Amino acid sequence: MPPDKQLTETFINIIREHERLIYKVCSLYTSNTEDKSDLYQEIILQAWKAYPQFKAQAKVSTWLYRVALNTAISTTRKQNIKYHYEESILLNFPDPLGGDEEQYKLLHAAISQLPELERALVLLYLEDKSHAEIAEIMGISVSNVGTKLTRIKEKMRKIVQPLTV
Amino acid sequence: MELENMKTLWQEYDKNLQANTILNERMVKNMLAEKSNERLSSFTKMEYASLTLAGILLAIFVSMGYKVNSEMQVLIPYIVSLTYFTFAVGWSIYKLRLLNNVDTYSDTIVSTRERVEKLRLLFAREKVWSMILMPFLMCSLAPILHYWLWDSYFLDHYMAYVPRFVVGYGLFVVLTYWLYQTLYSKNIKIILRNLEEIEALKKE
Repeated sequence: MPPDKQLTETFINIIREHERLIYKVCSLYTSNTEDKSDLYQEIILQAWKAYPQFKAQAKVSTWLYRVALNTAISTTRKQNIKYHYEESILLNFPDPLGGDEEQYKLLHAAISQLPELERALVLLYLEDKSHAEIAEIMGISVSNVGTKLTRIKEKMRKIVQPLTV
Repeated sequence: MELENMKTLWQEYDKNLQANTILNERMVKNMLAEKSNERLSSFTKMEYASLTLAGILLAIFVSMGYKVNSEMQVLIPYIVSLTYFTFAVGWSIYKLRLLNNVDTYSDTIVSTRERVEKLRLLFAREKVWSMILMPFLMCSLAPILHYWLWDSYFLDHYMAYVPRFVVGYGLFVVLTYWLYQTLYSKNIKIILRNLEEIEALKKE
């Protein structure tokens, strides 16, 4: 198999294996389907651009979280980002939770009120990542992760309270 | 709803995604084939454009050096303009290096955000400074361009330029003030607030 093709195949396998991670980052940083699709594509492109430099020193998921979160934070700051692929892509994002859709909307509404970096912290917490892994992805100390999460929990409580009334 | 409950909800969402997502390989392959990863950011494009412009102007000024005599009213503006364009080329190269150093792939989320915000701050401040310095550049360019184009000294004809300079400078002051207000009161303040947020996140 030619090296380029092999590289593409390996990359696609990684994306296939971690696709949910990208979907979840997109879900948390955007609200409509079109923006989600745009962000999804941008994350894949950024990951592809970074892939040749990926030396497997970090876990694939750690690397992909960094790419996805960095891309999500920078992309969502810009407005009206449109891509010009020949094939118009609008991904079919699955319905959040079926019956629990209201709860999911509440979760989304609460998280979207947090600053972008805290949102990334919350996402990693929801993903059940260890404090060490969160620290590695975010670039803060392990003890700081605990402190920040405690504060964010408090903050979230205050955000959610008026939303549930 | 507590963050703990949210985690349970999030895990249900994860299960739902697991059951419902199938990677569209054809779409991904098409995207990669279009080499869209070579797209440049608008910042980088702008920097390459200003580097090219500054480079062209520097080359013109260097190549026209033989037409400069030792007369102070020609020599001083020539040296000032040449210094400005040399500085502009160097500054553009420096900014491009900074832009290319932003690695959104291997850097952590906090360090990338910090680097990007610092760059945005540098760019916003640079815009303000370039507006402030523009009249000085114009004052140094006018005598040298006048000499090259009409082979006579600017100071012998300066009265003809005074009304244009006054009107131009008046417009310039208004424009600079507007730009400063827009940049300072909006962009720079937002950037500074973002940097403060990053600092707060790093602090234990």
